[in-house]
Amino acid sequence: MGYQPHSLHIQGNILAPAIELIGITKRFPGVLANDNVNLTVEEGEIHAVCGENGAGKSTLMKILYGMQAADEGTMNLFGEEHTFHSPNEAIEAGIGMVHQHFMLANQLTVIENVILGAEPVKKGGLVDFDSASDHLEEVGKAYGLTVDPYDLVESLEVGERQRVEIIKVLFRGAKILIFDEPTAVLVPQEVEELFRNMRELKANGATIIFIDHKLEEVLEIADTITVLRQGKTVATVKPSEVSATDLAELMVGSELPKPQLSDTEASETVGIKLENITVLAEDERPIVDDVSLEIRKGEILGIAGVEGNGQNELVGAILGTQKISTGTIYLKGDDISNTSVRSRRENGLGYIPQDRQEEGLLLTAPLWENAALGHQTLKPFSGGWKQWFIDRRGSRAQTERIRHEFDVRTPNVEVAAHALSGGNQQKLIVGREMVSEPSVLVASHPTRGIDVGAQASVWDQIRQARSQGLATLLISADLDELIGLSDVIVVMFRGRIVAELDPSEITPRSLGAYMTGATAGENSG
Amino acid sequence: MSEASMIGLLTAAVSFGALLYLAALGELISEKAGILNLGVEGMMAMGAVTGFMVALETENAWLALIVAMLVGALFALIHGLFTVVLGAEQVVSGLSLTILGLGLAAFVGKNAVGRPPGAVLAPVDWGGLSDIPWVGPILFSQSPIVYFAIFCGVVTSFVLTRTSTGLALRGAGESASTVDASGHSVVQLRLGAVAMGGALAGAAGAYLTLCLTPQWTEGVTAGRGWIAVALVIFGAWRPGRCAIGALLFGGLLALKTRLQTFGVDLSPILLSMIPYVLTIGVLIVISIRARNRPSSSPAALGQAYRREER
Repeated sequence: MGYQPHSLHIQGNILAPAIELIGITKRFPGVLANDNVNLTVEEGEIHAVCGENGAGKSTLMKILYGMQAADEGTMNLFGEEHTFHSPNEAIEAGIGMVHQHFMLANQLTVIENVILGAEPVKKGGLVDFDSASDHLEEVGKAYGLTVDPYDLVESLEVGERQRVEIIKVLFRGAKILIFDEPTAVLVPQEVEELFRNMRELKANGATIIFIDHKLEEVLEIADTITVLRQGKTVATVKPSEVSATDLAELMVGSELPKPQLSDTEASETVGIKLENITVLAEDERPIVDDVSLEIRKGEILGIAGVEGNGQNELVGAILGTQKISTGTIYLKGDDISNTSVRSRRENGLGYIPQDRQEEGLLLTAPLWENAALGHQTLKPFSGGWKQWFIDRRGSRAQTERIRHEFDVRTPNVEVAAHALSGGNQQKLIVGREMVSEPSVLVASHPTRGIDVGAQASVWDQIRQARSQGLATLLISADLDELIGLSDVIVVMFRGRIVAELDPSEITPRSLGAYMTGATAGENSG
Repeated sequence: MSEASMIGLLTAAVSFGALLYLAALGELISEKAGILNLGVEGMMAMGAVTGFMVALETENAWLALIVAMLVGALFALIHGLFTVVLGAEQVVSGLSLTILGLGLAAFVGKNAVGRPPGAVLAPVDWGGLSDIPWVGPILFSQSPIVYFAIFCGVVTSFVLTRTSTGLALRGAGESASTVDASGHSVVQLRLGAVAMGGALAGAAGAYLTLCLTPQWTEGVTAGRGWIAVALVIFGAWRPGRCAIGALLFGGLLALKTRLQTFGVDLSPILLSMIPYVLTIGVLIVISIRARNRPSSSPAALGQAYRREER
């Protein structure tokens, strides 16, 4: 639409889209987060913005919300150009953000959190809590959102906290709501509730931008979908025109791989063998109860189980961080039950921890130091007197190798680990374990919380290692992944192995029944 | 123990308690906004020396008090500059402030050592009220700063819970990014809180040299700034509970000078240790008891806030 004569100006505003972002570019040191991004959102629609981790979704939203300034580009709201220097200005223009990591102070009450920054004040500068709670109740009723205003946020469930975030935004009279990966923290029932709320908001005239990378969800809730890839807009589509696979391919930029194995490649040599392992909890009850299993070279053994049924303790026992009370562990035929973690690692035990930020990385240390973790006593990371010195040059070179072979997207190996997206952090960890050529790999939730592209690459690495004769223990909550990658699946329930299954004969559904103990015992032995 | 000496002890407990309370309130305000300031001892020393020197020059105790508070606030803003604006490590900056403050105060006050005070803050005359048995001497014979401390406690409590500034300030200590997103300025809130903390520590210092021990010597603060820091923890970051703690710890300080008159025959050096040993003991008990309960400390205490961080 061209420029309207002055008399039609108001009409022009009505026809103009709610949001129009044109040519937005944002650079961070070494990273081009947004590269000439265009986004148009019509009034009253739910517009999904999706892309892999690190595709620039969050940055784009922070720019829209005034938390960060764009280096280039323009932003029009209802046909008028705006530049925000702070979230305050965005809020005044009617934009509200429901943050992925809740912006809530836990030790303040719901109402204190809601009014923070928009405090109704009565005479003498005092906060008018009464009128605030009335207004809160009105807003809650209008959109079907209820919480007790005087509860401490600390005491609320995750879904309730999110509701507080939404109410907070509505309380300020926002017309445009940004939801930044709202489903990432929710369980399925809470997601349904959230979607109900979003539809309600839309029915009341709100415009919603919805950031997500879970494709089924996007297809279910969105009216329009814009896909970002590596900081660029690659497509804007209607959900009726695309399938989840199409979307995923747009996000990744290539055809989508699946977790699938070629025929068995297991040799007769045993990589790791556990005999009657029992681990006691603090209260002396067995948390791992008489577990025996063996994994041959070239074999992947998957462990299924609801979290908290002894999987973590079993991993700890193998790694050496958890004391075993009875039983023996053999690594390549040697009894390692009483050896130190370091000696196990040096003898070829690779480990991908379930929580990469907690157990896998030093977030503030550079990548090359992170790459040495767990292998710091071995070449090429260590050199010199009794492996006491770190070989800095060797470490950097090795990290460069990991970076290239495992496609870790980073400007260089000197950046701190926290600067990488989750998927790239995981690729670094996988790479660091793989280049050390372990003979046994323990992989605990190796693709948890990473995007489809990084997931595919991790699967590739595990498959490749298998064909090179690695014995892998795989623990995952993603049942498709478990069934697709494993040669054998065992189910852990209350510390015991209750079933051994052939992945080619089961579905996630039947596996789920074993995991809850419903069919325990029938198939074991 | 005679009734007179009991009254004397309680009176002194209130006097010493007010000293600790002022400094602790300042620290509480600062910590509520998320800034740990371990420079209380240094700020107190600066307040003590400037208060005393201004009183020497002008013979006006009130002016001395005001200048001491201003100096305390300015001095605290050094900590503010490093921790709030530049995002430096708060423990390091705070400790440096204490060392700097103690040294600078000793240097500035070199010529004032041993001189008689130019002016003192005389006790408030409450007329007939001070004749009430027990209550009169304990509550109505105190220096104006004692009442100032009580007033500050009430105002702090009120501002924190009932005003929008107070709400935002508490928010800054719980989750700075939340406050930033809400449109308040984290930097302003935190700097303000740090300056306020310095002003109250400065007042506590001036109270020492203008009233409690009306003279200046190096080391006159004698570690009381540290007790104030501990008091904030003891009081679970609440002005009311801190007041109770201040009375208790003030009583311990008062006890020290009185034990001998009660007939306790112990080396004075050991006696002067008692309040500090008991401080440590009380804090250990508190932390053991609090171990299984959720912490009441501000969640973002000690964390620098940088906006552009990804």
